[in-house]
Amino acid sequence: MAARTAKLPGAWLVATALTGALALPIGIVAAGDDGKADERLQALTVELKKYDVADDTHHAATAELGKAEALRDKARSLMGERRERDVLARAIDELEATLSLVEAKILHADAKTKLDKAKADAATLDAEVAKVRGEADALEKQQEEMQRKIGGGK
Amino acid sequence: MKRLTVAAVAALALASCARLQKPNEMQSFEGARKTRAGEELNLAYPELVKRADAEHRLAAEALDDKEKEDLDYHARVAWLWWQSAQLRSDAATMKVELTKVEEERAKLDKDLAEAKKRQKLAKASLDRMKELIALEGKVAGSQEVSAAKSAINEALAALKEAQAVDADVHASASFAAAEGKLKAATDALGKNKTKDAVSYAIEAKATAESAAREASPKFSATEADQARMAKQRAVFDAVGQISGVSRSMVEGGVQAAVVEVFGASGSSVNMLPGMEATFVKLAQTSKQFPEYALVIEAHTDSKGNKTKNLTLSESRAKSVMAFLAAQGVPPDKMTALGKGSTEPVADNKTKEGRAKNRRVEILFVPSSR
Repeated sequence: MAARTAKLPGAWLVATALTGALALPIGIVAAGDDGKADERLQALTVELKKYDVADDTHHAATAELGKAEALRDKARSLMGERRERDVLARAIDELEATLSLVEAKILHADAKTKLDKAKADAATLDAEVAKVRGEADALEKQQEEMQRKIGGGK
Repeated sequence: MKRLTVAAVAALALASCARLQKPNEMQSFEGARKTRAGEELNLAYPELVKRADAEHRLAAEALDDKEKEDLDYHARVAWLWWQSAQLRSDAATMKVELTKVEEERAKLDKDLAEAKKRQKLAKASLDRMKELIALEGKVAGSQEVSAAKSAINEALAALKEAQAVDADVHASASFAAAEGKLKAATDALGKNKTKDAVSYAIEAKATAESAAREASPKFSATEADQARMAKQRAVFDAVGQISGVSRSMVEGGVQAAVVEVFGASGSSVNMLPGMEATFVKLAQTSKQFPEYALVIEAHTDSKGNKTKNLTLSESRAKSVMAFLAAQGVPPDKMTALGKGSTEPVADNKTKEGRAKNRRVEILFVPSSR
Protein backbone atom coordinates (compact mmCIF):
# COMPACT_ATOMS: atom_id res chain seq x y z
CA MET A 1 0.00 0.00 0.00
CA ALA A 2 2.82 2.30 0.88
CA ALA A 3 4.46 1.52 -2.41
CA ARG A 4 1.22 2.24 -4.26
CA THR A 5 0.74 5.45 -2.35
CA ALA A 6 4.28 6.46 -3.17
CA LYS A 7 3.60 5.95 -6.88
CA LEU A 8 0.41 8.01 -6.85
CA PRO A 9 1.87 11.51 -7.19
CA GLY A 10 3.69 10.44 -10.35
CA ALA A 11 0.55 8.93 -11.85
CA TRP A 12 -1.44 12.01 -11.00
CA LEU A 13 1.17 14.19 -12.59
CA VAL A 14 1.05 12.21 -15.83
CA ALA A 15 -2.73 12.14 -15.81
CA THR A 16 -2.97 15.86 -15.12
CA ALA A 17 -0.44 16.65 -17.81
CA LEU A 18 -2.30 14.50 -20.32
CA THR A 19 -5.65 16.03 -19.46
CA GLY A 20 -4.13 19.49 -19.69
CA ALA A 21 -2.55 18.72 -23.03
CA LEU A 22 -5.88 17.47 -24.35
CA ALA A 23 -7.99 20.15 -22.76
CA LEU A 24 -5.91 23.09 -23.91
CA PRO A 25 -6.38 22.64 -27.64
CA ILE A 26 -10.05 21.74 -27.13
CA GLY A 27 -10.51 25.01 -25.28
CA ILE A 28 -8.81 26.97 -28.03
CA VAL A 29 -10.83 25.28 -30.78
CA ALA A 30 -14.00 25.88 -28.84
CA ALA A 31 -13.27 29.56 -28.45
CA GLY A 32 -12.37 29.74 -32.13
CA ASP A 33 -15.59 27.96 -33.06
CA ASP A 34 -17.65 30.44 -31.08
CA GLY A 35 -15.89 33.31 -32.77
CA LYS A 36 -16.32 31.70 -36.17
CA ALA A 37 -20.01 31.04 -35.52
CA ASP A 38 -20.46 34.63 -34.41
CA GLU A 39 -18.68 35.87 -37.51
CA ARG A 40 -20.76 33.67 -39.81
CA LEU A 41 -23.99 34.68 -38.12
CA GLN A 42 -23.06 38.35 -38.42
CA ALA A 43 -22.34 37.96 -42.13
CA LEU A 44 -25.57 36.06 -42.74
CA THR A 45 -27.54 38.63 -40.73
CA VAL A 46 -26.13 41.37 -42.96
CA GLU A 47 -27.08 39.32 -46.01
CA LEU A 48 -30.59 38.82 -44.66
CA LYS A 49 -30.89 42.53 -43.93
CA LYS A 50 -30.42 43.44 -47.57
CA TYR A 51 -33.79 41.84 -48.28
CA ASP A 52 -35.49 44.27 -45.87
CA VAL A 53 -35.72 46.82 -48.66
CA ALA A 54 -39.14 46.58 -50.25
CA ASP A 55 -38.89 45.05 -53.66
CA ASP A 56 -41.56 43.26 -55.62
CA THR A 57 -39.24 40.45 -56.60
CA HIS A 58 -38.66 39.65 -52.90
CA HIS A 59 -42.22 38.32 -52.76
CA ALA A 60 -40.86 35.34 -54.64
CA ALA A 61 -39.08 34.25 -51.47
CA THR A 62 -41.42 35.47 -48.71
CA ALA A 63 -41.72 32.05 -47.08
CA GLU A 64 -37.96 31.46 -47.18
CA LEU A 65 -37.26 34.92 -45.79
CA GLY A 66 -39.59 34.18 -42.86
CA LYS A 67 -37.82 30.91 -42.29
CA ALA A 68 -34.41 32.59 -42.50
CA GLU A 69 -35.46 35.16 -39.89
CA ALA A 70 -36.61 32.38 -37.58
CA LEU A 71 -33.30 30.56 -38.05
CA ARG A 72 -31.35 33.75 -37.37
CA ASP A 73 -33.31 34.32 -34.14
CA LYS A 74 -32.75 30.73 -33.13
CA ALA A 75 -29.01 31.01 -33.79
CA ARG A 76 -28.84 34.27 -31.84
CA SER A 77 -30.55 32.67 -28.87
CA LEU A 78 -28.10 29.76 -28.95
CA MET A 79 -25.01 31.93 -29.19
CA GLY A 80 -22.78 31.37 -26.19
CA GLU A 81 -24.61 28.20 -25.09
CA ARG A 82 -21.66 25.82 -25.05
CA ARG A 83 -23.88 22.77 -24.70
CA GLU A 84 -25.92 23.74 -27.76
CA ARG A 85 -22.93 24.23 -30.05
CA ASP A 86 -24.06 21.54 -32.51
CA VAL A 87 -27.58 22.93 -32.68
CA LEU A 88 -26.14 26.40 -33.27
CA ALA A 89 -23.88 25.14 -36.06
CA ARG A 90 -26.83 23.44 -37.70
CA ALA A 91 -29.03 26.52 -37.44
CA ILE A 92 -26.30 28.61 -39.08
CA ASP A 93 -25.75 26.04 -41.83
CA GLU A 94 -29.45 25.90 -42.56
CA LEU A 95 -29.65 29.70 -42.50
CA GLU A 96 -26.83 29.88 -45.05
CA ALA A 97 -28.57 27.36 -47.33
CA THR A 98 -31.90 29.16 -46.92
CA LEU A 99 -30.35 32.51 -47.85
CA SER A 100 -28.76 30.94 -50.89
CA LEU A 101 -32.22 29.75 -51.90
CA VAL A 102 -33.71 33.20 -51.21
CA GLU A 103 -31.19 34.78 -53.56
CA ALA A 104 -31.80 32.10 -56.18
CA LYS A 105 -35.57 32.55 -55.98
CA ILE A 106 -35.24 36.31 -56.38
CA LEU A 107 -32.88 35.91 -59.35
CA HIS A 108 -35.30 33.44 -60.86
CA ALA A 109 -38.33 35.71 -60.33
CA ASP A 110 -36.44 38.68 -61.75
CA ALA A 111 -35.35 36.75 -64.84
CA LYS A 112 -38.88 35.42 -65.34
CA THR A 113 -40.46 38.87 -65.00
CA LYS A 114 -38.04 40.32 -67.55
CA LEU A 115 -38.49 37.42 -69.95
CA ASP A 116 -42.29 37.47 -69.70
CA LYS A 117 -42.34 41.22 -70.30
CA ALA A 118 -39.98 40.96 -73.26
CA LYS A 119 -42.10 38.16 -74.73
CA ALA A 120 -45.30 40.17 -74.26
CA ASP A 121 -43.68 43.25 -75.85
CA ALA A 122 -42.44 41.17 -78.76
CA ALA A 123 -45.92 39.68 -79.26
CA THR A 124 -47.48 43.17 -79.27
CA LEU A 125 -44.87 44.37 -81.71
CA ASP A 126 -45.37 41.32 -83.89
CA ALA A 127 -49.10 42.04 -84.07
CA GLU A 128 -48.41 45.68 -84.92
CA VAL A 129 -45.98 44.68 -87.69
CA ALA A 130 -48.63 42.36 -89.16
CA LYS A 131 -51.26 45.13 -88.99
CA VAL A 132 -49.07 47.82 -90.58
CA ARG A 133 -47.85 45.37 -93.24
CA GLY A 134 -51.47 44.50 -94.06
CA GLU A 135 -52.35 48.17 -94.36
CA ALA A 136 -49.29 48.86 -96.50
CA ASP A 137 -50.16 45.89 -98.77
CA ALA A 138 -53.71 47.20 -99.21
CA LEU A 139 -52.50 50.73 -99.97
CA GLU A 140 -49.93 49.47 -102.46
CA LYS A 141 -52.59 47.39 -104.20
CA GLN A 142 -54.85 50.43 -104.37
CA GLN A 143 -51.96 52.45 -105.68
CA GLU A 144 -51.27 49.89 -108.44
CA GLU A 145 -54.93 49.96 -109.47
CA MET A 146 -54.92 53.76 -109.64
CA GLN A 147 -51.65 53.70 -111.51
CA ARG A 148 -53.26 51.43 -114.13
CA LYS A 149 -56.20 53.83 -114.45
CA ILE A 150 -53.99 56.90 -114.80
CA GLY A 151 -51.57 55.17 -117.08
CA GLY A 152 -54.38 54.02 -119.35
CA GLY A 153 -53.64 56.79 -121.77
CA LYS A 154 -50.01 55.77 -122.09
CA MET B 1 -48.83 -13.14 -19.96
CA LYS B 2 -45.51 -14.67 -20.93
CA ARG B 3 -46.65 -14.89 -24.57
CA LEU B 4 -47.61 -11.22 -24.52
CA THR B 5 -44.22 -10.20 -23.22
CA VAL B 6 -42.44 -12.26 -25.87
CA ALA B 7 -44.60 -10.68 -28.59
CA ALA B 8 -43.89 -7.17 -27.30
CA VAL B 9 -40.14 -7.82 -27.18
CA ALA B 10 -40.24 -9.25 -30.71
CA ALA B 11 -42.18 -6.23 -31.98
CA LEU B 12 -39.66 -3.86 -30.40
CA ALA B 13 -36.78 -5.80 -31.92
CA LEU B 14 -38.42 -5.65 -35.33
CA ALA B 15 -39.08 -1.95 -35.01
CA SER B 16 -35.47 -1.26 -34.13
CA CYS B 17 -34.33 -3.29 -37.13
CA ALA B 18 -36.72 -1.58 -39.57
CA ARG B 19 -35.04 1.00 -41.81
CA LEU B 20 -36.11 4.60 -41.60
CA GLN B 21 -37.93 5.85 -44.64
CA LYS B 22 -36.14 8.34 -46.87
CA PRO B 23 -37.73 11.78 -46.68
CA ASN B 24 -39.31 13.04 -49.92
CA GLU B 25 -36.61 15.71 -50.29
CA MET B 26 -33.90 13.04 -50.20
CA GLN B 27 -35.71 10.94 -52.80
CA SER B 28 -36.20 13.99 -55.03
CA PHE B 29 -32.51 14.93 -54.66
CA GLU B 30 -31.31 11.43 -55.53
CA GLY B 31 -33.65 11.26 -58.51
CA ALA B 32 -32.47 14.62 -59.87
CA ARG B 33 -28.78 14.26 -59.01
CA LYS B 34 -28.09 11.16 -61.09
CA THR B 35 -29.60 12.56 -64.29
CA ARG B 36 -27.63 14.20 -67.08
CA ALA B 37 -29.22 17.53 -66.11
CA GLY B 38 -27.98 16.93 -62.57
CA GLU B 39 -24.42 16.50 -63.78
CA GLU B 40 -24.71 19.63 -65.92
CA LEU B 41 -25.93 21.49 -62.86
CA ASN B 42 -22.87 20.25 -61.01
CA LEU B 43 -20.63 21.64 -63.74
CA ALA B 44 -22.42 24.99 -63.73
CA TYR B 45 -22.69 25.44 -59.95
CA PRO B 46 -20.01 23.18 -58.43
CA GLU B 47 -19.92 24.98 -55.07
CA LEU B 48 -23.67 24.69 -54.45
CA VAL B 49 -23.89 21.09 -55.64
CA LYS B 50 -20.84 20.22 -53.50
CA ARG B 51 -22.71 21.51 -50.45
CA ALA B 52 -25.82 19.54 -51.45
CA ASP B 53 -23.75 16.37 -51.95
CA ALA B 54 -22.07 16.79 -48.56
CA GLU B 55 -25.41 17.19 -46.78
CA HIS B 56 -26.81 14.24 -48.70
CA ARG B 57 -23.89 12.04 -47.56
CA LEU B 58 -24.64 13.00 -43.95
CA ALA B 59 -28.32 12.23 -44.52
CA ALA B 60 -27.37 8.79 -45.90
CA GLU B 61 -25.23 8.14 -42.81
CA ALA B 62 -28.10 9.22 -40.57
CA LEU B 63 -30.37 6.84 -42.47
CA ASP B 64 -27.97 3.96 -41.80
CA ASP B 65 -27.69 4.96 -38.14
CA LYS B 66 -31.48 5.36 -37.95
CA GLU B 67 -31.12 8.88 -36.64
CA LYS B 68 -34.42 10.36 -37.80
CA GLU B 69 -33.79 13.92 -36.67
CA ASP B 70 -30.37 14.03 -38.36
CA LEU B 71 -31.78 12.40 -41.45
CA ASP B 72 -34.56 14.98 -41.79
CA TYR B 73 -32.18 17.87 -41.14
CA HIS B 74 -29.48 16.89 -43.66
CA ALA B 75 -32.01 15.85 -46.32
CA ARG B 76 -33.72 19.25 -45.93
CA VAL B 77 -30.49 21.25 -46.14
CA ALA B 78 -29.23 19.19 -49.11
CA TRP B 79 -32.48 19.98 -50.90
CA LEU B 80 -32.11 23.71 -50.13
CA TRP B 81 -28.66 23.81 -51.76
CA TRP B 82 -29.89 21.75 -54.70
CA GLN B 83 -32.91 23.98 -55.29
CA SER B 84 -30.69 27.03 -55.06
CA ALA B 85 -28.49 25.66 -57.87
CA GLN B 86 -31.50 24.55 -59.89
CA LEU B 87 -33.24 27.94 -59.73
CA ARG B 88 -30.03 29.78 -60.63
CA SER B 89 -29.61 27.50 -63.61
CA ASP B 90 -33.20 28.16 -64.71
CA ALA B 91 -32.63 31.90 -64.29
CA ALA B 92 -29.48 31.69 -66.43
CA THR B 93 -31.43 29.81 -69.13
CA MET B 94 -34.10 32.51 -69.05
CA LYS B 95 -31.42 35.18 -69.43
CA VAL B 96 -30.17 33.49 -72.58
CA GLU B 97 -33.73 33.26 -73.85
CA LEU B 98 -34.22 36.94 -73.02
CA THR B 99 -31.25 37.83 -75.21
CA LYS B 100 -32.83 35.91 -78.08
CA VAL B 101 -36.22 37.58 -77.53
CA GLU B 102 -34.50 40.98 -77.48
CA GLU B 103 -32.74 40.17 -80.75
CA GLU B 104 -36.07 39.12 -82.22
CA ARG B 105 -37.58 42.34 -80.93
CA ALA B 106 -34.85 44.40 -82.57
CA LYS B 107 -35.66 42.65 -85.85
CA LEU B 108 -39.37 43.35 -85.34
CA ASP B 109 -38.58 47.04 -84.71
CA LYS B 110 -36.78 47.10 -88.04
CA ASP B 111 -39.65 45.28 -89.78
CA LEU B 112 -42.12 47.75 -88.30
CA ALA B 113 -40.09 50.73 -89.47
CA GLU B 114 -39.96 49.24 -92.99
CA ALA B 115 -43.70 48.49 -93.03
CA LYS B 116 -44.48 52.02 -91.81
CA LYS B 117 -42.32 53.46 -94.53
CA ARG B 118 -44.08 51.37 -97.20
CA GLN B 119 -47.41 52.53 -95.77
CA LYS B 120 -46.33 56.17 -95.80
CA LEU B 121 -45.02 55.93 -99.36
CA ALA B 122 -48.14 54.25 -100.70
CA LYS B 123 -50.42 56.69 -98.90
CA ALA B 124 -48.52 59.72 -100.18
CA SER B 125 -48.60 58.38 -103.76
CA LEU B 126 -52.32 57.69 -103.48
CA ASP B 127 -52.98 61.21 -102.21
CA ARG B 128 -51.09 62.62 -105.18
CA MET B 129 -53.02 60.44 -107.61
CA LYS B 130 -56.43 61.32 -106.22
CA GLU B 131 -56.66 64.65 -108.01
CA LEU B 132 -55.63 63.04 -111.24
CA ILE B 133 -58.22 60.28 -110.82
CA ALA B 134 -60.88 62.91 -110.14
CA LEU B 135 -60.21 64.28 -113.62
CA GLU B 136 -61.04 60.95 -115.27
CA GLY B 137 -64.03 61.45 -117.58
CA LYS B 138 -63.85 65.24 -117.20
CA VAL B 139 -61.07 65.78 -119.69
CA ALA B 140 -61.33 64.72 -123.30
CA GLY B 141 -59.39 61.62 -124.30
CA SER B 142 -57.19 63.37 -126.85
CA GLN B 143 -53.56 62.57 -127.68
CA GLU B 144 -52.46 65.72 -125.86
CA VAL B 145 -54.28 64.64 -122.72
CA SER B 146 -52.62 61.23 -122.91
CA ALA B 147 -49.21 62.88 -123.25
CA ALA B 148 -49.94 65.10 -120.24
CA LYS B 149 -51.10 62.12 -118.20
CA SER B 150 -47.97 60.24 -119.15
CA ALA B 151 -45.75 63.16 -118.08
CA ILE B 152 -47.65 63.42 -114.78
CA ASN B 153 -47.19 59.69 -114.22
CA GLU B 154 -43.46 60.02 -114.68
CA ALA B 155 -43.39 62.89 -112.19
CA LEU B 156 -45.37 60.74 -109.75
CA ALA B 157 -42.84 57.93 -110.07
CA ALA B 158 -39.96 60.36 -109.54
CA LEU B 159 -41.62 61.72 -106.39
CA LYS B 160 -42.13 58.20 -105.10
CA GLU B 161 -38.47 57.38 -105.63
CA ALA B 162 -37.43 60.59 -103.94
CA GLN B 163 -39.59 59.79 -100.94
CA ALA B 164 -38.05 56.31 -100.75
CA VAL B 165 -34.74 57.98 -99.77
CA ASP B 166 -36.57 60.27 -97.32
CA ALA B 167 -36.29 63.33 -99.57
CA ASP B 168 -39.36 64.71 -97.77
CA VAL B 169 -37.11 64.84 -94.67
CA HIS B 170 -33.57 65.37 -95.97
CA ALA B 171 -34.41 67.64 -98.95
CA SER B 172 -37.73 69.01 -97.79
CA ALA B 173 -37.66 72.27 -99.77
CA SER B 174 -36.92 70.63 -103.12
CA PHE B 175 -39.40 67.88 -102.40
CA ALA B 176 -42.15 70.38 -101.51
CA ALA B 177 -41.39 72.30 -104.72
CA ALA B 178 -41.73 69.09 -106.76
CA GLU B 179 -45.05 68.34 -105.09
CA GLY B 180 -46.24 71.89 -105.84
CA LYS B 181 -45.33 71.51 -109.49
CA LEU B 182 -47.11 68.19 -109.74
CA LYS B 183 -50.24 69.81 -108.33
CA ALA B 184 -49.92 72.63 -110.85
CA ALA B 185 -49.65 70.02 -113.62
CA THR B 186 -52.80 68.24 -112.44
CA ASP B 187 -54.67 71.56 -112.12
CA ALA B 188 -53.61 72.54 -115.63
CA LEU B 189 -54.82 69.21 -117.00
CA GLY B 190 -58.17 69.76 -115.23
CA LYS B 191 -58.46 73.02 -117.13
CA ASN B 192 -57.57 71.26 -120.39
CA LYS B 193 -54.30 73.23 -120.56
CA THR B 194 -52.37 70.17 -121.66
CA LYS B 195 -49.20 72.00 -122.71
CA ASP B 196 -48.92 73.67 -119.32
CA ALA B 197 -49.64 70.34 -117.67
CA VAL B 198 -46.77 68.65 -119.54
CA SER B 199 -44.46 71.55 -118.77
CA TYR B 200 -45.25 71.48 -115.02
CA ALA B 201 -45.01 67.70 -114.94
CA ILE B 202 -41.54 67.75 -116.52
CA GLU B 203 -40.44 70.36 -113.96
CA ALA B 204 -41.95 68.30 -111.15
CA LYS B 205 -40.02 65.22 -112.27
CA ALA B 206 -36.71 67.12 -112.55
CA THR B 207 -37.18 68.73 -109.13
CA ALA B 208 -38.07 65.39 -107.56
CA GLU B 209 -34.94 63.78 -109.04
CA SER B 210 -32.86 66.63 -107.72
CA ALA B 211 -34.42 66.20 -104.27
CA ALA B 212 -33.59 62.47 -104.42
CA ARG B 213 -29.95 63.23 -105.28
CA GLU B 214 -29.75 65.71 -102.42
CA ALA B 215 -31.32 63.32 -99.91
CA SER B 216 -29.53 60.12 -100.92
CA PRO B 217 -26.18 60.63 -99.10
CA LYS B 218 -27.94 61.78 -95.93
CA PHE B 219 -30.27 58.81 -96.11
CA SER B 220 -27.32 56.38 -96.43
CA ALA B 221 -25.50 58.08 -93.57
CA THR B 222 -28.59 57.84 -91.37
CA GLU B 223 -28.96 54.14 -92.16
CA ALA B 224 -25.29 53.51 -91.36
CA ASP B 225 -25.66 55.57 -88.19
CA GLN B 226 -28.68 53.56 -87.12
CA ALA B 227 -26.81 50.30 -87.75
CA ARG B 228 -23.85 51.60 -85.73
CA MET B 229 -26.12 52.65 -82.87
CA ALA B 230 -27.84 49.26 -82.91
CA LYS B 231 -24.45 47.54 -82.64
CA GLN B 232 -23.38 49.86 -79.83
CA ARG B 233 -26.61 49.10 -78.03
CA ALA B 234 -25.84 45.38 -78.35
CA VAL B 235 -22.40 45.93 -76.76
CA PHE B 236 -24.04 47.97 -73.99
CA ASP B 237 -26.55 45.18 -73.32
CA ALA B 238 -23.83 42.52 -73.31
CA VAL B 239 -21.73 44.49 -70.80
CA GLY B 240 -24.84 44.86 -68.66
CA GLN B 241 -25.01 41.08 -68.27
CA ILE B 242 -21.69 41.03 -66.38
CA SER B 243 -22.09 41.37 -62.64
CA GLY B 244 -19.84 43.86 -60.89
CA VAL B 245 -19.49 46.04 -63.98
CA SER B 246 -21.16 49.41 -64.35
CA ARG B 247 -21.73 50.61 -67.90
CA SER B 248 -22.50 53.82 -69.71
CA MET B 249 -22.96 55.01 -73.26
CA VAL B 250 -20.27 57.57 -73.95
CA GLU B 251 -19.29 59.54 -77.00
CA GLY B 252 -17.71 57.09 -79.36
CA GLY B 253 -18.59 53.88 -77.59
CA VAL B 254 -19.52 51.98 -74.46
CA GLN B 255 -17.68 52.34 -71.19
CA ALA B 256 -17.43 49.47 -68.70
CA ALA B 257 -16.11 50.32 -65.23
CA VAL B 258 -14.94 47.95 -62.51
CA VAL B 259 -13.91 49.17 -59.06
CA GLU B 260 -11.45 47.69 -56.59
CA VAL B 261 -9.80 45.42 -59.11
CA PHE B 262 -6.49 45.39 -57.23
CA GLY B 263 -7.64 46.04 -53.68
CA ALA B 264 -7.49 49.11 -51.49
CA SER B 265 -3.97 48.90 -50.15
CA GLY B 266 -0.58 48.14 -51.54
CA SER B 267 0.76 48.55 -54.99
CA SER B 268 -0.08 45.21 -56.48
CA VAL B 269 -0.52 45.02 -60.23
CA ASN B 270 -2.13 41.58 -60.06
CA MET B 271 -5.91 41.67 -59.96
CA LEU B 272 -7.67 40.15 -56.96
CA PRO B 273 -8.58 36.49 -57.57
CA GLY B 274 -12.29 37.29 -57.20
CA MET B 275 -12.02 39.79 -60.04
CA GLU B 276 -10.76 37.38 -62.66
CA ALA B 277 -14.21 36.00 -63.51
CA THR B 278 -15.41 39.54 -64.32
CA PHE B 279 -12.54 40.16 -66.72
CA VAL B 280 -12.95 36.73 -68.31
CA LYS B 281 -16.52 37.79 -69.14
CA LEU B 282 -15.35 41.17 -70.43
CA ALA B 283 -12.90 39.32 -72.69
CA GLN B 284 -15.74 37.12 -73.94
CA THR B 285 -17.81 40.22 -74.71
CA SER B 286 -14.89 41.75 -76.56
CA LYS B 287 -14.50 38.59 -78.66
CA GLN B 288 -18.23 38.63 -79.33
CA PHE B 289 -17.84 42.08 -80.91
CA PRO B 290 -14.54 41.89 -82.83
CA GLU B 291 -15.30 45.13 -84.64
CA TYR B 292 -14.74 46.98 -81.35
CA ALA B 293 -11.32 47.90 -79.97
CA LEU B 294 -10.63 48.32 -76.26
CA VAL B 295 -9.09 51.28 -74.49
CA ILE B 296 -8.13 50.18 -70.98
CA GLU B 297 -7.70 52.93 -68.42
CA ALA B 298 -6.59 52.30 -64.84
CA HIS B 299 -7.26 54.94 -62.16
CA THR B 300 -6.10 55.30 -58.55
CA ASP B 301 -7.37 57.36 -55.64
CA SER B 302 -5.49 60.46 -54.54
CA LYS B 303 -3.65 58.85 -51.65
CA GLY B 304 0.12 58.85 -51.97
CA ASN B 305 2.51 60.33 -54.46
CA LYS B 306 0.98 61.51 -57.76
CA THR B 307 3.86 60.30 -59.92
CA LYS B 308 3.87 56.91 -58.22
CA ASN B 309 0.11 56.66 -58.67
CA LEU B 310 0.50 57.39 -62.36
CA THR B 311 3.19 54.74 -62.77
CA LEU B 312 1.15 52.25 -60.76
CA SER B 313 -1.97 52.87 -62.85
CA GLU B 314 0.02 52.37 -66.06
CA SER B 315 1.31 49.03 -64.79
CA ARG B 316 -2.20 48.02 -63.74
CA ALA B 317 -3.68 48.94 -67.12
CA LYS B 318 -0.98 46.83 -68.79
CA SER B 319 -1.68 43.99 -66.37
CA VAL B 320 -5.40 44.04 -67.32
CA MET B 321 -4.43 44.15 -70.98
CA ALA B 322 -2.16 41.12 -70.54
CA PHE B 323 -4.95 39.25 -68.76
CA LEU B 324 -7.43 40.00 -71.56
CA ALA B 325 -4.83 39.01 -74.17
CA ALA B 326 -4.39 35.70 -72.33
CA GLN B 327 -8.15 35.24 -72.69
CA GLY B 328 -7.85 35.59 -76.46
CA VAL B 329 -8.46 39.30 -77.07
CA PRO B 330 -6.07 40.35 -79.89
CA PRO B 331 -3.40 42.65 -78.36
CA ASP B 332 -3.40 44.90 -81.42
CA LYS B 333 -7.00 45.81 -80.60
CA MET B 334 -6.12 47.05 -77.12
CA THR B 335 -4.55 50.18 -75.72
CA ALA B 336 -3.52 50.49 -72.06
CA LEU B 337 -3.46 53.86 -70.35
CA GLY B 338 -2.61 54.84 -66.78
CA LYS B 339 -4.45 57.88 -65.49
CA GLY B 340 -3.23 57.92 -61.90
CA SER B 341 -5.46 60.06 -59.70
CA THR B 342 -6.05 62.73 -62.34
CA GLU B 343 -9.64 61.80 -63.24
CA PRO B 344 -11.57 61.13 -60.05
CA VAL B 345 -15.26 60.29 -60.31
CA ALA B 346 -15.98 60.70 -56.59
CA ASP B 347 -14.78 62.60 -53.53
CA ASN B 348 -11.30 61.46 -52.49
CA LYS B 349 -11.92 62.75 -48.95
CA THR B 350 -14.26 59.88 -48.12
CA LYS B 351 -13.54 56.16 -47.96
CA GLU B 352 -16.46 55.38 -50.29
CA GLY B 353 -15.34 58.04 -52.75
CA ARG B 354 -11.80 56.68 -52.84
CA ALA B 355 -13.14 53.18 -53.43
CA LYS B 356 -15.08 54.47 -56.45
CA ASN B 357 -12.00 56.21 -57.79
CA ARG B 358 -9.87 53.06 -57.64
CA ARG B 359 -11.18 51.63 -60.86
CA VAL B 360 -10.48 50.21 -64.27
CA GLU B 361 -12.45 51.57 -67.21
CA ILE B 362 -12.67 49.73 -70.48
CA LEU B 363 -13.94 51.68 -73.43
CA PHE B 364 -15.38 49.67 -76.32
CA VAL B 365 -14.82 51.77 -79.43
CA PRO B 366 -15.59 50.88 -83.07
CA SER B 367 -12.34 49.68 -84.53
CA SER B 368 -11.05 51.11 -87.80
CA ARG B 369 -8.77 48.12 -88.32
